[in-house]
Amino acid sequence: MNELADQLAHPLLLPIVIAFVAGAAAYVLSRLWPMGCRLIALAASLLVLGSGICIFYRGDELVGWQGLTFGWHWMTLTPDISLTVNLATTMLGMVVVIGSAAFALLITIYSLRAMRGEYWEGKYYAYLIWALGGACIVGLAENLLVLLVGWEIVTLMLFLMISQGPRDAKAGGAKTYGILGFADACLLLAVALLATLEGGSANWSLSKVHDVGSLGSLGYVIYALILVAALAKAGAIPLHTWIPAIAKDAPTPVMAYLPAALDKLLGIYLLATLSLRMFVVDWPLRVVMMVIGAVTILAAVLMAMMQHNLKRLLSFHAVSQVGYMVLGIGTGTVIGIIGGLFHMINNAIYKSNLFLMSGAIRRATGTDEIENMGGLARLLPVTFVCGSISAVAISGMPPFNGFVSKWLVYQGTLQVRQTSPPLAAALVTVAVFGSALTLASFVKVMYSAFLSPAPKGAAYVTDRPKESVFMAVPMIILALACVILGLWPGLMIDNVLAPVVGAGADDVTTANLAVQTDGLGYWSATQTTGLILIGLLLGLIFVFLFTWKKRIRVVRPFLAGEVAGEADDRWRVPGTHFYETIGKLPIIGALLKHGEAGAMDPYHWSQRHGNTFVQLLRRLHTGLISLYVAWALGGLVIILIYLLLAART
Amino acid sequence: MNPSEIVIWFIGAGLGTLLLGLLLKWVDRKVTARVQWRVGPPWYQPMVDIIKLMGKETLMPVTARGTGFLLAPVIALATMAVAATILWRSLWDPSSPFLGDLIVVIYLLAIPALMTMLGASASGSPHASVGASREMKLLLSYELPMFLAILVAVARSGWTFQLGGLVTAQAQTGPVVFSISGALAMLIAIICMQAKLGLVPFDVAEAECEIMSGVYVEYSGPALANWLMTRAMMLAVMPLLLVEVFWGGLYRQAWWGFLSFLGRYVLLVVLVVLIRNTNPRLRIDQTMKVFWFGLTPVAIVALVLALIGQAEGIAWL
Repeated sequence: MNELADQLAHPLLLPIVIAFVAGAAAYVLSRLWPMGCRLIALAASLLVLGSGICIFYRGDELVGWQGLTFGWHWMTLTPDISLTVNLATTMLGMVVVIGSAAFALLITIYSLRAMRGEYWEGKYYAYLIWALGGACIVGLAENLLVLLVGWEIVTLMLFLMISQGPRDAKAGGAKTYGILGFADACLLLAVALLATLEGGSANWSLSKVHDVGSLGSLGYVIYALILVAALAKAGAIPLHTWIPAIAKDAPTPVMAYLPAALDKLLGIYLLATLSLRMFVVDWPLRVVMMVIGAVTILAAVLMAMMQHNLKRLLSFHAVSQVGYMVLGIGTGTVIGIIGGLFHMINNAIYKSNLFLMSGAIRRATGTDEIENMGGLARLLPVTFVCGSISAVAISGMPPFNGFVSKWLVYQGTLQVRQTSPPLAAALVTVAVFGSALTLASFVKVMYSAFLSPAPKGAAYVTDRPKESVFMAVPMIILALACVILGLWPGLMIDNVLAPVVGAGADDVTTANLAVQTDGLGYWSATQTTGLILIGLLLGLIFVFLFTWKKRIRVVRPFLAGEVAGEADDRWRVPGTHFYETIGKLPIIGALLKHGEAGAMDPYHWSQRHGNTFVQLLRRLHTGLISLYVAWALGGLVIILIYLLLAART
Repeated sequence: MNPSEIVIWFIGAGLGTLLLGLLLKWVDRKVTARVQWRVGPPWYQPMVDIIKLMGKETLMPVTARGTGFLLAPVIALATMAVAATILWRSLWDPSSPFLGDLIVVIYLLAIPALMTMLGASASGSPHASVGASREMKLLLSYELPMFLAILVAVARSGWTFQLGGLVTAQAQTGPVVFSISGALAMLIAIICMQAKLGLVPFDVAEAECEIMSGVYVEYSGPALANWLMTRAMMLAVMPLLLVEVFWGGLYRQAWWGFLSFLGRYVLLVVLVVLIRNTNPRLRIDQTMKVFWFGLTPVAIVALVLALIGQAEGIAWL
């Protein structure tokens, strides 16, 4: 008993135990005391964050990185295969733990307002904390089997959270569970296959390096299976469709928490662990990954541009951005991998913030449809500013964080030219153009939601909705993170990413506040931003001197001689019309139409063809007993023949 | 480089580009006038226009979101000045990296367009909204062939994104434009420059006789003056970018180096003016088709030629 207590007190178990105990407490209290659930969720995410940070620093300074490990032997199945719980800290794993805890904390604060009064509020907090616990297991796991357990917990919590939504989200939930369940099954299969290799369960260790090529075809199969799991969780094409499917109906905090933040961290973490630690990846596999990344970037962003529902639009961007991470990691170059991992962190920050923005908009207007919004810049100034910063960051505009990571990915991709110049040129073009399309999509959002006039008769204009403090604080923190990581990318690159990748001194330097990559690129965010600010100041002083003592006269807008009243819909151009020209272009228009019809969706195919198969089976089940007896006899005959054949040999 | 030096470069290059841009604006107006059998204005006319606009009062439509509407042109101007500083500095001293590389410049040059869209959106005018959507589609149109054309130069000049590196590489191997792929790429870049400058035949976002200056319809006084200055600077910066990336930059060791740079630079500006005076405006859908289905395949061909040339060591390809 004492031994168990000792083991439970191990620092690495701390965040996991806290999360699961707190989750259970919240679940028990869910009906009785919602306020208690809120407090528990807040306290638990704070404690997990704190314990994560403690592990990070103690591990760094006192114990040394590889020293902080936990191992508990559970049982031995065969001489080769034994089940053990192994935990260890790695730099990237700690990023997952600390990042997940930080997002859990911010989303909890946001939910204090957003989820207040929902009939399942208490349970929601329980699921949220359990999902955090699952993410901690994944981040700390040293063993693929342990990782799989955490992985499953997060999937299950996602499913529970989206199918509990206020509106009917069952279909999307089923699709999600279909795709993610399939991915988890792939991971399980990979675990089983690894155990059959020489060495048995020792192969599960994440720090054991396998060479894909030397394992033969089995190595590729195992790699592909884990790759499927990672890409489905992160949401890369073609396993992305669950994200848009749940976007409309799932509660916004859930979208901001799981598909936007945690699932990206976990999926890309597994991808990075798979490609950088577990396997030595060869060139064909890297090409596959890079192509998946590039296709994801382009296809998803084109779909996003055409969406009329804000959350659905954001969900397609959540897919598109994954492309940059997969592309960056797939390049196999130091700069590309740093860029890909940096993009994982940045994307979690601004994508989560954009979903929070959509939640604030929905709370104010009661709608997610872009054409029913408008004029919110005046009503929701904090949401507007934070949303704009995130939107500009996701579009990769300097000087925000999205720019730095995309810029690194471009350069990493360009380095692929050492093996294949045409591929490098094609991929970097796709990546840059995808970024321009992202900007287009968000110009539409900013215009429609915030800047365009409100639609006629919109109830929210007269209600004058106000910002909620609980919802504003997380948005402000995330927007600030976008700015800080954009201006001082060295914080992340020097302290976290370069050590993870094992970057040499020549690959990327961050001296003098500038990021310099090996003879390729140069970017000094602080100096450039400083100059822009100086220019802005000078410009404003200049304008101020000229307009001294002159007032700004407010006039009616020019409408080609017409007089328009307040909120006159005749003169309102909804943002949904912005890119109709593109939808009508040859080739691209057709692609978009097929995309919308589910041409890229394996779930859709399996539904269609699976249905035919099921119908066939149905026809055989007529209910006549003689037919069933015939079936049973037929089966018996087959078994007999098999046994006879087996007995002969 | 210490901060004060950077700031001095910034102010010098910013103001210099502004004055140069206004002068080029005069070239534009003068040549246009001669093409149309008019006399044209004196050389200081664009500057006088700016000063006059500065003295006018600012009008703001009641539908506008004031802060964004008035801040957008100033941000655009400031960003433009930074982009200009990077380009001049890398032209003058290619050996040391400064502020940012080519990718940074491309993105900084997109910010004025972004600000145009935000300012237009913030004005609340339907003409401006249509203009903003067209501006965005225009940006999407030219960005793709433009980037492919730039990649040709990058591929031919040692695969670097650093502007100084591109200039230095061309000093050794000869300008990019003196090859089949380079010439094709430069041609595409010139057409993209026309679109980036928002001049005929690609002035869809303003289109005076269709949507009443579109994105700028509600701007007046100092705010409009800011936009005009930004566009004048763009007129000075885009040919500079092309000269640096495709046409060898500046040779500082002899007096004729400066003269040759000036010749190439002015030639590009005059080309812009001539294109603008001899073409009708395209509709936005036609524009997109021209760029995506006309120029992009040509740019891809140029890129393929450049890659073959690099792989096989054929310098003229």
